[in-house]
Amino acid sequence: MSAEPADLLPIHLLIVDDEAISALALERFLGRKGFRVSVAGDGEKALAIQERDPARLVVTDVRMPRCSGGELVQRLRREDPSLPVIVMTGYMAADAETAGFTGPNTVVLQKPLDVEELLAHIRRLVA
Amino acid sequence: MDLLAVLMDPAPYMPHGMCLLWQPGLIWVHLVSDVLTGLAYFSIPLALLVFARRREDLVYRWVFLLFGAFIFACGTTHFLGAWTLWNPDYLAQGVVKAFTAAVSVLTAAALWPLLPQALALPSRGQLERANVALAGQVTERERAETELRQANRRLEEAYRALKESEARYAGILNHAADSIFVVGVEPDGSFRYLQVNPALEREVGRPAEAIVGRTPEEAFPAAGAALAAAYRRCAESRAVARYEEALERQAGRQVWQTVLVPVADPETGRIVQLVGTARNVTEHRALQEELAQASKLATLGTMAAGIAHEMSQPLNAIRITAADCGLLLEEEEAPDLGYVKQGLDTIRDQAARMGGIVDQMRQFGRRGPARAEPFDPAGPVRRAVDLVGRHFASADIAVELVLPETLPRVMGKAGQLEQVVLNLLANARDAIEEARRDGRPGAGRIRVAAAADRRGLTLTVDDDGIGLSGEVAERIFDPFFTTKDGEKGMGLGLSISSSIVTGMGGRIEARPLAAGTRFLITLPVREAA
Repeated sequence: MSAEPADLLPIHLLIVDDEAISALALERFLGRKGFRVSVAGDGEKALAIQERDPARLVVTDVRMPRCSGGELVQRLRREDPSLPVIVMTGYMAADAETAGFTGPNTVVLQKPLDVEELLAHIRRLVA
Repeated sequence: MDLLAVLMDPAPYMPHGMCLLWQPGLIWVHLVSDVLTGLAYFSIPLALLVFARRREDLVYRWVFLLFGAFIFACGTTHFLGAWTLWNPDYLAQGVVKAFTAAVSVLTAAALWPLLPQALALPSRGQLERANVALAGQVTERERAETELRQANRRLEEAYRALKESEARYAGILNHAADSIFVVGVEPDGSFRYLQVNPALEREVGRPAEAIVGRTPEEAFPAAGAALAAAYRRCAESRAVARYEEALERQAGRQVWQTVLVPVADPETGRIVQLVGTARNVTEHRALQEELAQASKLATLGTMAAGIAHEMSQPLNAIRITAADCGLLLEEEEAPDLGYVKQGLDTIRDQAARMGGIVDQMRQFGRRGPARAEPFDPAGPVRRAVDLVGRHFASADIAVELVLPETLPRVMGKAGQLEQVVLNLLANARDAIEEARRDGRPGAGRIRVAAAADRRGLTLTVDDDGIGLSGEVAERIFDPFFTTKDGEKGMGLGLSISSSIVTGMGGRIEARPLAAGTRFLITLPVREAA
């Protein structure tokens, strides 16, 4: 069922989105693709998970209550500057809000997501 | 001749001087006394005569003449007394004395009967007093006449002023752009038009003769019952009534803003007349409607980002799930249909959620009902909070909604109230974001609450944002007044909100809170129909 590389352990991904339905849909898809998926509803929960059980890659929404996507990425990179991050932006003000997300390990994707594109980016970044 | 001879004949008598024995002293006394008395007695009648001639208004002139004659006669006897000292003409003296006696007796006789009449003549003091009194009366009379003239002049002026005033009022009545009418209140409580002005004739398209003297039902068959009901409410409440009424006419639906003033009989206190003015506000209302619609679309515009966010969430879930299921079906020989079914359920639910958002937008953007109607204010308040709630939450702004189980109905258009609440919510969000930029990151609470009591419905929107300065609070409902930069809007939101609330017969005001602002709306409650 899985098309993933035959690692011993599945790769751990962290999805951060305050929109539970979107997070659930992603979790289902990526789980089906053989990843181990954790879901956090906001930035603070994400930081807690990352501290306890670090993920190889973080997929995060930008606009969230409490700790926003931008702040989350900053704090994650403080611990692990090379951490791959995929940023999902939801709406019109995207340009201003994603301006800060740059670097070789960073990908910005527009919602609604193209899951095959997402999967390709994940595979490239965790390779 | 004989008599004269006898008189002049001195022979038989001796002069009177002999009786005095020619004593020189005695002779002199008699002579001087008689001559002086005679002279005086001749002088007095002369004076009386002059007086009588000069005083033309003299009463009892004949008495003066009589006195004159009698004193003249007495004078003559004295001269004869002197004469007879030496010449014994006693006969002549006797004749003169007899004449004197006759005149004296006549005078005396005439004097007594005259006495009461003479006494009745006013004395000089009396005359003076009478004169003073008369002068007083004359002054008094002149004063009265002056007063009368002044009163007359005033009366004339008042009459002229009245005429001018009447003409002026007739002018006002005839040339006023507003319709003016007077309704008589009959003792049985029915109404009858007493007067209408040309503006009203033009507006209703009917001549005064078709209205004056008739009841509302007779004059306006279609709307009469509603008009009479409004008149009755005004007459019974005894208070000035302001209301809007719509009449269907050939030209289309016309909206009138009417003010009725009850007039009471000063003696009985009964309301006998209603004086009404009505203004056709159809165009004004239509423009207001246009402006409200434009502002609504502007509100939608400022909410576009939030709405896009709202839409992108379910859309995202749908796209992920659909692609996932599609890939699954492509990839697997024997796909897990249960997994696919779950995915389809998610797609259906999220599509329904998007449909809900679209419906909400459509409802909001749509022009409401043409006329005001009673509605439950809870609906639009809840819809407004729902529309922005999730979007605000993603910006870390919590919207709390406190609604009692039931609220009385208010009169107006539900969509407009929704717009007002949305405007206030957008305003609250902007105030919170401003506070955060101003160094208060903890700001982020909005509380929307409704409550009702006997006086009406109160709706509050509280935020813990930047707050209002007094100067801003005064101008905040002015059109085009804004403290924000151009991107946030044109400054019409609160102005439109204010005109909507006013149109519903309510009030809107901004009050500072310890931290933040409260917008307070009060609306009259529609009594249970």
